[in-house]
Amino acid sequence: MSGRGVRTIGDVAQFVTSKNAGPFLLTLDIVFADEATYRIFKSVKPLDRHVIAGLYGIPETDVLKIIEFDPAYAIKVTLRRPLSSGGLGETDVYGAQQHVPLMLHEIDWPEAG
Amino acid sequence: MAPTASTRDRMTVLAPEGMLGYGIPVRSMEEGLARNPDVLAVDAGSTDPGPYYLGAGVPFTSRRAVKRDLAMMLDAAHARRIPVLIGSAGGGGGRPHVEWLVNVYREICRERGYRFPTATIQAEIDKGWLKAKVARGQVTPLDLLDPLTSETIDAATRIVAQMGDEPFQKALDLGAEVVIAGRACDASVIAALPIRAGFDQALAIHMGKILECGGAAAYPRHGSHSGVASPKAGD
Repeated sequence: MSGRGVRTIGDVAQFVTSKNAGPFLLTLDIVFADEATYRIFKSVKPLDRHVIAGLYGIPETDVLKIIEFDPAYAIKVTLRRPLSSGGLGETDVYGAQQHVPLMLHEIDWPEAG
Repeated sequence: MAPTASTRDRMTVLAPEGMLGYGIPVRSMEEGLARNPDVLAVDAGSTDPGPYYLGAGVPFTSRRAVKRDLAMMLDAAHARRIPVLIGSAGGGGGRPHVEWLVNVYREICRERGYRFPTATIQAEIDKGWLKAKVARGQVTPLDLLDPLTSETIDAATRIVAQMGDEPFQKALDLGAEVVIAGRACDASVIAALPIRAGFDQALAIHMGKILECGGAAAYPRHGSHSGVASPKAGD
């Protein structure tokens, strides 16, 4: 289990999901159940290109966008896929199984108060 | 929700399902038809399943399911004299995919005695033409900055271009009541009739984007269910 003040992104989010976005891009979504949790996540600033590139083993330049989308209490990350969808050697055509490294990533989390 | 009636100031679009062949629930279709739609518009394709189906010239949906869903739509179109617009026929929207869906369509029409003025619109583009465009620097990439090369073009089995709402409008202008098109922007299929009728194009495309997956934009979230939208003049 996580130590005090440390949570995985999967612990604090309502869900974390991934999906192909056209043949060459992958989109990761972190969606929060309520505004308060979303605001805490934003204030902690746990994600940047360097962190995401490390989680996925890709160059930082392939982390194309990190979008904070307030109306949905959600963070969207767009990556360039190492191999295009359905390309030779590629193993997840729909890109729907790529959320786990992000979901299990541990972040500092203030105790609720 | 009150039934909507079509006027010059209002139009109703029914997307019977999010993907032709996903299995329209009968009750969902009935609810949609009760809103007196002016058009039935459906997307039949996706890039999600990868390039195999496009290259191989085969659909990714079941023929039996597509026939069942298309027959439901044609029954409604025949009874109400409203057009049916289908984009990205056969999934990939290439020539064999359009031909595959036309074959299913003809079978239904033969069995039921339907005769609709029909348009097919092809979306495959010639490799030589595309390479000439690349050579002249007239091709710009989307999303990523990787340029299209003549080697990539040669390596492709089949290349389709994505059409907008204009070819659908042209087909309707020519008197078509059923339009079976190759690769098309899914939102444009849904938006084509309202745009042709003079409704705001941006609003109509936005409506199309919401409806293109049928009931998937609503709760409970099911892409096989129908979605209805009614743009109003002045919106």
